[in-house]
Amino acid sequence: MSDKKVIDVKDVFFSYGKTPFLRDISFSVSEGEIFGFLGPSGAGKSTLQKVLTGICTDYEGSASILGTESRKSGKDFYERIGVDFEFPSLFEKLTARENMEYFASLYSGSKRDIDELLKEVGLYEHADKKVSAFSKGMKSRLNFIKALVHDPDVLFLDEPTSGLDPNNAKIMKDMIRKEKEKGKTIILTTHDMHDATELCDRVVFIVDGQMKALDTPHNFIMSRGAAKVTYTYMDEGVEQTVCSLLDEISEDTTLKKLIDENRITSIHSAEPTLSDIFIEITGAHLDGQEQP
Amino acid sequence: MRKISVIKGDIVFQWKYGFYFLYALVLLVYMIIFSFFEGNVRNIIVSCCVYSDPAAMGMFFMGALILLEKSQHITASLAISPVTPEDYILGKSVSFAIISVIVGVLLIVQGHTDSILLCMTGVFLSSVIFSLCGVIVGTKVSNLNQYIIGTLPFELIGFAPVIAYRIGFMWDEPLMLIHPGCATMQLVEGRTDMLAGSLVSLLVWIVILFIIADKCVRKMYRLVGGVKL
Repeated sequence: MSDKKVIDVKDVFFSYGKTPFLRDISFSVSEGEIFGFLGPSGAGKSTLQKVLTGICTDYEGSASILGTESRKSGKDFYERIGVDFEFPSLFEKLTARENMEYFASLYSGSKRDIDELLKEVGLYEHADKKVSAFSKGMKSRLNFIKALVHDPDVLFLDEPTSGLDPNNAKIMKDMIRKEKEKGKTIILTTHDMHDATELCDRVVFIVDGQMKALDTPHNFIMSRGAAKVTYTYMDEGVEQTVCSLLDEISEDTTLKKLIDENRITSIHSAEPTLSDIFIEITGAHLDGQEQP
Repeated sequence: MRKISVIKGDIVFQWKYGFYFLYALVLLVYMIIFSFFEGNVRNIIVSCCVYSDPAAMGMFFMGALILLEKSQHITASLAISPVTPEDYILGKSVSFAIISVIVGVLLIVQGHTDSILLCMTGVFLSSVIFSLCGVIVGTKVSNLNQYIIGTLPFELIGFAPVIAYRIGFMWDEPLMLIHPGCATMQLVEGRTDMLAGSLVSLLVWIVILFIIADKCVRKMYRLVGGVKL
């Protein structure tokens, strides 16, 4: 990851009507960084992506991508970005290869090898099948490599692992990491905290069109609570549960005694998850419900 | 190069979805109908049919095409690609105009024209006009019923005056050339006496409708993905 800023967003406000939908959005993303937009449905993640990709142009403030203000996006701008929408955007009556060839033909620069891409996501054997015969997961994978076919510098991925089985989700995540290694800058829009923790260098929490917090997943987890140890034991026929902080465990005399007496029935350690931190900071669940 | 790719893509898309089969079917039905008529009546019917179907078919099929693209989120992929709204409109209009000209020529030889070249020009330009009308309505609707209702005014304004014009009302009145259908009819029959007026009329209409269609496609691009409030 380099220090070169690829995306620079300053004081962005946007509204579909009279009420502001995005408010006071500012952040920057470096070359080779995976940057996550996290938030519940309707929080403004996709709208922010539309601002960055030059679809919504009537915003206030500045949103510069690869040195181009996104409201001034033109053909050259779109040659350099790739977008994988949450939904498949493919010609159902065309085969996988025909879809790839068609979308590749819309770009003028160098292209990735279509067969290689199909092989990477396990669709090479299905390359000549019509997309209408594909499962949801197959369409998602094809949609993903469609965004890569023109070898863009910046990738916008919207819920890339949504609807995929664990095996295919892993293939997809490995491919995302490979793109990062090649120096591609990636914006990952998701409400899957596990994906965000695994993949993102930094994440921003977005709720109600506002940035609530921005940091690395590691810093979020470390700053908001230490790891805990929970153990259980039997006392006069009743199961007792005790929770201790991991960094204070040496001072837990009960635990020492129970170990000596071999009375522990279970013991687990657990760190707070990004999901816990999200709820703590924003007061919102990822399904969009407010905390009581 | 990209413009050619877009046009080629639209032709493939229309082929795969059976639009060309429908054109062939329409052609066959018309040929059977023409066989029942002779002389000048046949010529007038053929000219009207060349205008009403090959030329105007873009509008009929445009709704289906745009709605299919919307249902498969193709417009989302195009909105974030180097395909500009102008390319998008060009692809649709030219691809429909090409097939319209082919079908138009096959039909007109069943009747009469003084110039096949002018007839082809008329069908091409008229097809572009109707395609642009189709884009304007198609980008604003979300189902076929809305599209049919939305194109009704275009059909009434597009066809009724032309039929009246061709069967004899004000046939030599230059002011009628303001109507793109009447201008097309002049070209379809290969008439050169009001050629400049006919061509200017059609080109002006194309420019006006293109500007409107461009705004509509930009708005459609803006609405892809995310929430709509």
